Amino acid sequence: MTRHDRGRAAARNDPELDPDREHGDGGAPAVLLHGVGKTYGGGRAGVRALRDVDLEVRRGEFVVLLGPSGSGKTTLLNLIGGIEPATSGTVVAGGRDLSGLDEDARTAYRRDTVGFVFQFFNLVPSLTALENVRLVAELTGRGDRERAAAALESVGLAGRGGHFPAQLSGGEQQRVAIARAIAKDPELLLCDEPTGALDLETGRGVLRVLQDLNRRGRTVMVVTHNAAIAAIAHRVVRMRDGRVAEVTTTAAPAAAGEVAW
Amino acid sequence: MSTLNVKLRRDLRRRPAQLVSVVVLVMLGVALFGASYDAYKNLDAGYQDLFTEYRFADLTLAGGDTAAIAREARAAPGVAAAAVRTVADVPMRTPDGGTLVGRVVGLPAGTQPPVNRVRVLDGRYLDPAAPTGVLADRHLADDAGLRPGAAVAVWDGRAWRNLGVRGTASSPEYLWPAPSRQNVLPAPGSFGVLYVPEDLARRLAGSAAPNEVAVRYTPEGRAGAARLDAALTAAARAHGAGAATTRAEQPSNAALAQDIKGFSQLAVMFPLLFLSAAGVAAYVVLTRRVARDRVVIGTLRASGFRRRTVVAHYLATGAAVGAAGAVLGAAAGLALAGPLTRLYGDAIGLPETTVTVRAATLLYGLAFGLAAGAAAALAPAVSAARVPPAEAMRGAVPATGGAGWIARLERAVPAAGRLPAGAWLVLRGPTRQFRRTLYTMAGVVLALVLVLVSWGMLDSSRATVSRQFDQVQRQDAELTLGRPLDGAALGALAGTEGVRAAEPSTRLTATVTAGDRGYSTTVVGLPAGTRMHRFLTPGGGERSLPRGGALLGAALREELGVRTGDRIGLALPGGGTVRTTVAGFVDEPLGTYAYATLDQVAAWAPEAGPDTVLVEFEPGADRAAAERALTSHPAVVAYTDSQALKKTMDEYMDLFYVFVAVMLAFGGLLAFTVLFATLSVNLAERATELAALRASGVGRRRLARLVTAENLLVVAAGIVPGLVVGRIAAGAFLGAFDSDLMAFHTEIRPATYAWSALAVLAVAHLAQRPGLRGLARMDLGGLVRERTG
Repeated sequence: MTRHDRGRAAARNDPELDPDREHGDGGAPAVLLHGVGKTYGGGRAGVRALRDVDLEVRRGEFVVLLGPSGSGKTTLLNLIGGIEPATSGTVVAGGRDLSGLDEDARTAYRRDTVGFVFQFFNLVPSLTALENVRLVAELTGRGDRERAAAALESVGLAGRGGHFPAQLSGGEQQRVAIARAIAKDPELLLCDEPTGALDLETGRGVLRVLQDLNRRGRTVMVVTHNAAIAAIAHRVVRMRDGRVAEVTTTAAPAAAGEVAW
Repeated sequence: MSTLNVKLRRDLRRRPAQLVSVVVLVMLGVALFGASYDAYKNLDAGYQDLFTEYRFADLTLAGGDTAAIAREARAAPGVAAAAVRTVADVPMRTPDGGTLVGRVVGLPAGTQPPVNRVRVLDGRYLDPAAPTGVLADRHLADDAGLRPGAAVAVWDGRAWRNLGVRGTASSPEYLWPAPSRQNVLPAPGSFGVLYVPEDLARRLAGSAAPNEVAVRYTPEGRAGAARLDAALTAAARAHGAGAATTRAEQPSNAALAQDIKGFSQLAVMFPLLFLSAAGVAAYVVLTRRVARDRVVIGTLRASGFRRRTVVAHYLATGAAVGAAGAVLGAAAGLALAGPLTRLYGDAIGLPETTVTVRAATLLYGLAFGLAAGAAAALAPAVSAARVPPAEAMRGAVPATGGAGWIARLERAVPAAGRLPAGAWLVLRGPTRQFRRTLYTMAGVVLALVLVLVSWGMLDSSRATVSRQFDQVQRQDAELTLGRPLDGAALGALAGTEGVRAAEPSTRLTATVTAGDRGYSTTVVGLPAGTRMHRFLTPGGGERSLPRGGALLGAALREELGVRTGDRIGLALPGGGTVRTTVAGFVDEPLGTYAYATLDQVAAWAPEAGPDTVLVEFEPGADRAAAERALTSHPAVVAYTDSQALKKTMDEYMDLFYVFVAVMLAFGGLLAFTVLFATLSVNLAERATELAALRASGVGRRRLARLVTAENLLVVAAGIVPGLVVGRIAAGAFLGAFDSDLMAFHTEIRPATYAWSALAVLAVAHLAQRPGLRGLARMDLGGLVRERTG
């Protein structure tokens, strides 16, 4: 078995081919990608962001997608999150094949299945922390006031709900973004560089929240170029040039507080 | 090309629709200015040329010893010529069967007069060999279909005389066919002028000598016209003259001058609205660009770029946009000035128009456009230069807090906390960039000013006509008598089939004097308890005709500086002056008359018996049959349909609707372009957070509804001051038409406000559509990774 084959086998979470498998509930996979490719633009100017990617993520897994800029990790996250469609291959998530969905159906998928956390938080500055959380819950019809408050409490910001984003630190803003993502109780939490704009201590706080959410059964996928974060994942998918280069499994993921960069 | 200029060029191509909207506004402003201001100047110059060519009188003196007055005038320094003539209002019958009270103006039979010449448009000038050959003024010719060879019957006080039409002519005195300052809007066919040999004019007027002196000044005399007017008027009064009419007061000239004055105001006001709107749009767009470029600006400043380089860079963007709009607008203005001049000239009856390209207008237009763009860019450019480099490069984006009235509202109304977050998104949205919200509102205000000024003109015109013909003037027809009225004739006219009532009336030309001021008008005598005329007071009430003294038109309070109870003089045509008291004032839309009872008028002028009969028809009466029956009475020599002007105005309303529709289109375009710029900037600024919401599964229609609600909230907030400012602007603009010729009250119907507001909301809805379509097309993947700002 070549290194690449081993990566593909591990990425598919094939028990026959991946002897390191230890985490996940063993049921239907949360995410299953097969032969996925993504090309931006067309003709000679087209950019192939992803090539023939296979990946399986089990329910309850904490997966870190690691790689340098331009390796395709964010594109992969966007395909899994239904933000954009794949050019080739199949993406199955939340029990749905995303390949043939139109924009409305992808919106419904995102509403029902996915929670997003972004590097720059993307909070609405004119709404308080609690209102930011409530907003998405209200507009997607998948949450109520109590759940929004609970989500905020679960990220340790119960006392900061009335503050506007400008009155919160970066870490607090990111935790509000996480609360916003989980208030609608998504199966899958997708985080794109969630600590990218934060200092070490604040970043650890955010990772602690993500790890805690994962321990409570949520599937979490984190895109980062920060190799140190890989330590808290069950599995680490390393990407290079639009391909899955390597998948490694961590027998005993580190606690978020132990991570340093 | 410097790298900064390369950046500038590429910046101009980025989000071109926003900049194009600014260019369009500047272009419209400059084009409107160029076309309308040049047209105004062309018309004004055309007038002056016409006055020179026709030797239009500077002063007209009526009554008295005209030969002596003329002699004295010719001797006065500053006087180029003085001509005597006979002018009389006489009943006429036209070949189409129409009857009217027209005017005969005496001219030398063999040659043009030295003052107040005419231009023969068709046929030939008067000829001593044809003593009853006349020229028909072009308005009368048009209304009655008169051509050379036709005949017009004129009442000479005893019998009808048939006069042959030798040709048609125009005169500066009757470019606008206004018989007097009291009647500047005669219904077509109700007034007309015949230019007749002077001898014939005297016979028709029953006058042994000329009754008018027309005086023309030299350029030096015109330079001191006020002084010369006063001196000649005083001298003429010493010879028994009554009315003295300056060139500015001459009815046709006064009516047209007022019209052109209004046009000149439009020529400045409407372009100003568009250029202001362009300024608003340019400011909003450039402010957004500066905000987006903060990091770049910080980097440039940190790299040693001077503040003034940064200022110049962003100023250049505004100037470039202004210049583009100005050049396009100036070209369009040049192209439109000619057609607009000719259109307006035709409408007011200028026999010929000259279109001149004025470099000054072109330069002003270019300067205005450039200034609008640059001025709007100044504040964003200066703010760009003030960006602290360190802060900018950290990318710290100033965010909105919860301060302000919204927060206070929340504290004051605890229930507000239970509102959905979506509602707060809508309510707090406008406070995020409050200045932009204010500018968006300003755009709405500008659009509503444009719409309400235009629509207000229509509403006010309708209200003025309705006030005159439905409230003040109750008679349906006015009968001019060929002989003194007696009881039997009045009874016969009142008993005519279809007639409900008939009242005698007297009309007496007089000059009301108070101190050294005078005002020529018509004294109308009516029965004390008249049912044909209501006397509305300036305070909004109504009063009856006083037994003694005179009721004066409200404009005379200022014209003569008199108040109720003051003593005034009435200089009568015969040369005498009687003294009386101002019994009160009336507020009437058309003309400034004096009213008194028939008995009072008889006391002032015993020889002036009732010369007209006012008639009211039965509801549903056959008006044509009644007219036939009334005109067949031997005492009646002319029939004037008192409601004809109202009917004509109603017919003209179609044209008015076209005008309002055009202005609404302009207002809509203005609103669309400003709102497109501000609302698209609003959406662009929020692209990242909206993309985050979309990524979180919020449907685009739901998001579009929220954004729409917020945008329309801002527009609705602008509508409130817009309606107020629009009403004030309409009042200020229409006030230009308020004079003794016409009391033009600004009256805008509630429905007009409602429709204007709805129209702006509808336009706002349209203006945000491109932005909302962008919501559906947004690159979620790219946007969610962007730093907000």
